[in-house]
Amino acid sequence: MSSEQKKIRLTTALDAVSLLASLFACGACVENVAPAFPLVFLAMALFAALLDMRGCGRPPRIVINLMSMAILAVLALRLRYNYIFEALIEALLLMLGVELLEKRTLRGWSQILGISFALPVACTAVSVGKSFLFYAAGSAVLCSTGLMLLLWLRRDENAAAAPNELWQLFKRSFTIFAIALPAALFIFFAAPRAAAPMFGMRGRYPSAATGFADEVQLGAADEIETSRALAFRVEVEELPATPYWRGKILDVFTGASWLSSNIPADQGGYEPEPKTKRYRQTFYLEPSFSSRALFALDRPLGLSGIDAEDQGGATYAAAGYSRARRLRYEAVSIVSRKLRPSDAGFDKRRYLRYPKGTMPRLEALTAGLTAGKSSRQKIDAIMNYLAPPRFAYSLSGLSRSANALEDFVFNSRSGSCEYFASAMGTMLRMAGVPARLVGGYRGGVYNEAGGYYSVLDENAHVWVEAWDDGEKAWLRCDPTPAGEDFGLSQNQTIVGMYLDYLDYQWSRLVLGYSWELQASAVGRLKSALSNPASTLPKAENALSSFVKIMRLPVLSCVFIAVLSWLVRKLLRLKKRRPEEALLAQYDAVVKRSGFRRGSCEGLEEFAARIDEIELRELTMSFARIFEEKYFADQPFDRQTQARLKTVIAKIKKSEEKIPLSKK
Amino acid sequence: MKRVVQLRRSGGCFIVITLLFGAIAVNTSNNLLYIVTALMLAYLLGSGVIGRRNILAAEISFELPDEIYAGVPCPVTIKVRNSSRAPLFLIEASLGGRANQRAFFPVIQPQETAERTAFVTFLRRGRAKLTDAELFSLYPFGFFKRFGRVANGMEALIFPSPVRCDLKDVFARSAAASASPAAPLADADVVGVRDYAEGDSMKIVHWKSTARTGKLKSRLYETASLSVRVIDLDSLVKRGVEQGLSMAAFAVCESMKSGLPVGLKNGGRTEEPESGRRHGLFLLSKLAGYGEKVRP
Repeated sequence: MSSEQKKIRLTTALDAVSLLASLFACGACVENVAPAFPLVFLAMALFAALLDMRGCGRPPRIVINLMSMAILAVLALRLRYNYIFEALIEALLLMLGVELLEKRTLRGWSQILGISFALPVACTAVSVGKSFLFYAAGSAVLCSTGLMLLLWLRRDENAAAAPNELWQLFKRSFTIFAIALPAALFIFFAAPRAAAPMFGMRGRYPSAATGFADEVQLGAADEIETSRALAFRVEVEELPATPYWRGKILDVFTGASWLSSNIPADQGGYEPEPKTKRYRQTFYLEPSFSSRALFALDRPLGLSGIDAEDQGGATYAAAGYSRARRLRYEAVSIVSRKLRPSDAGFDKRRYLRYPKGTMPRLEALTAGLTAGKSSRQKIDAIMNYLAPPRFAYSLSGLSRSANALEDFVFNSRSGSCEYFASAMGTMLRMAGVPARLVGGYRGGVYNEAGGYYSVLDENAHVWVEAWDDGEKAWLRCDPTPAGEDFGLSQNQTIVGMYLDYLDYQWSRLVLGYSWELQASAVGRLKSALSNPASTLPKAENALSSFVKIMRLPVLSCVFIAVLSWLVRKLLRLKKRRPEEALLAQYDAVVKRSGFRRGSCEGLEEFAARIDEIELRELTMSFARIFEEKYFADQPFDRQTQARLKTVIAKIKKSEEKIPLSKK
Repeated sequence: MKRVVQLRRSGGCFIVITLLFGAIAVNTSNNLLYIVTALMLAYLLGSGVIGRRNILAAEISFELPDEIYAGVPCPVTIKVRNSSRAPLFLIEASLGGRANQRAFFPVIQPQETAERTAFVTFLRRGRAKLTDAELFSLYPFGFFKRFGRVANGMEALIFPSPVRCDLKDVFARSAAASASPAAPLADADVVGVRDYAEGDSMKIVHWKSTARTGKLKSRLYETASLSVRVIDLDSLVKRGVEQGLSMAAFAVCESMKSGLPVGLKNGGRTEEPESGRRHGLFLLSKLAGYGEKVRP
């Protein structure tokens, strides 16, 4: 085959590159459009590839034009005020499919590459996934390769290239990407950002909202509590006990749901003893469209790094705007069950209200349980009553009747945290003990590599705070019987832990990066420059945690490298021709007999210098059979291989007869 | 001032789009769009680094043929050497504005030299300077045109454009030129054999004597008819200088092709008829410099 025949036409290469680029573009937007659109696109791409493979012509221009008009019609029909980007992406995807079907020209290829680049860009308006980076990178590399091929083709329209030249061109695209990536990261983190929009534009903040709501409705939380969507991550050292993440106080009970009256609760708690351990936390909250609540480890001392409203009762809410975008803030807390307000004489009547007369059986039960007891004893009695085995935790078969609470206490006796907390809160109020519900989260998955908790929707929780007259403090009571493991997902694998860590860094460094973070980084840099000694311990800490995180991936990479080396070696062994394998086997066997054949020594020459008669004859016989085929340039057929193997086996046997002294 | 880089329209569009995305990213706090913008800016940087390395590693040189005739496209061999360890892509060399004055080198492998031919036409005979050969490349994305090294133009002697004519009109008829003892002539009688001299045509080699003696021998012709192979330039230029020179150039070219000796009579000075390419080029250079002042 001549070298000319081996060349690949640039048009073929450009077809392949543009098809790949368009598939990457489709991958980037597949999550953001209706499933039918990627399917239609893939059908078009497949059809175009089939036409290419069979060497058929392209559809006539009129068909292409009609298809384009149909796409514009689809776009116009699907366009809504809050559905602009999705409709645009869908239209672009279909246009890309049409371009693939169109007859190839320089202009057509340019358009395919242009749309393949535009699609991931358009997806930035509606996507927040990490996969975006993968598709954007793939699209960048492929589009740049395509641009180079286009330039070449523009200069020489009949150009063809050897496969290695095309590979070199593709590698060069990777090199450009490798140069551009660190530069892009630098620009991303260092380029100036605006504290506020310059032209009053404010984009959409796309995300799935978390399940936390400012209202607890009996039977409504089963969907939330089985969802594995991320609610927030919090950087904090590992806590000794299951953490409670305090969010919202619910002080109004309607009989079917608990709401917030939005009247500020008792203000502030006293400053704890100096020796009490303080936990500094950094929160990365996922967007939520249903709540402004800001969370902190129970019991928070204060929040910083965000404009927060103090709602009283040690709860906070994002001020001014909703939580419709990712938020980052810091909190300081102590781990305590008690919350002691600065003014213990606040009006407690609103914590005693409940729809009287609607639950007579529950009132009777409560009266029986708490008669003649102190507030602390009443709390304990109700807690004990709701404890297992009498009651069990369940997310299925929840009562949704009009009298759901009595149904739960007297009939089903199984339910979610809403039922337990509602029952206890109501019973406490019936017994004359001020009580309220606190909405938040419990537990979370601690990522040791990253040093943070991932708190999921399924960790959403509600518990009770009861007023202890003796202590003059709110006492956290959690009647939900699930043991200490409730909400703690312990089944995370190491791979899962690292994937979560990557996701965490994506949220923290990419999606959550803002003007405030940039300003704080500049501040830290300034202080490090002015007083390097003070930053040394911090740098050491950062380094040690980095080493801790990277230890496993580095070891894994070394393991994979060794494994791939071994596999390659094994494959190389397998690829050996039969005569080479037989010769290696022969050399190994005669070596065991005490004779070593030189690397350039002929088989007969080697056999002649063996002083053991039997072995000499056998090795000579091997040499003759081998050379008969080898020097005649004939293939080592199965028969010859079998003969040689027999001789090797005989040599092996004869080796056993040779005295050890001669070996 | 030497040009280094020139922004193209596609590059301008790319920069405008990047800035537009940047403005949208800042205003919407969309960090993913910020990443795209940063990547686009970084790609400009990356393509700049790669494009610059690509063009600076190319070394250009060119070679002119030893026969260049006025008005006839002259093939110029352009050589581009890749002095780096990486392949070079999409290099172009230019000797002028026309398409056939450019050479395109899609790939040049490391440490290799690629050759292409471009064509240059000189309109007048005499000494002329070839313009500088310029290297440039649109690689990698065609956003910028980068200029590389330049091969300085060289001086060339342009021969008169040969014009087909009847050779009888060109050669002198009466002048008695002294015969060269070894001058070959097709219609002359062979009078003996002599040692082969450099420039002798293979047509006059006497193979029998060569085989016998083991040395190259050439035929010795009778010298009587030699005077007819001398170009009478003085009478030719009477028809018009350039016309006469073109006719003379044609006669020299024909003699070079046939291996016959040719001489030149110019202003009372006669170049004796000789055969061979070297002599032919000598006569052509005389024709090219006709009317020029002799340089010191």
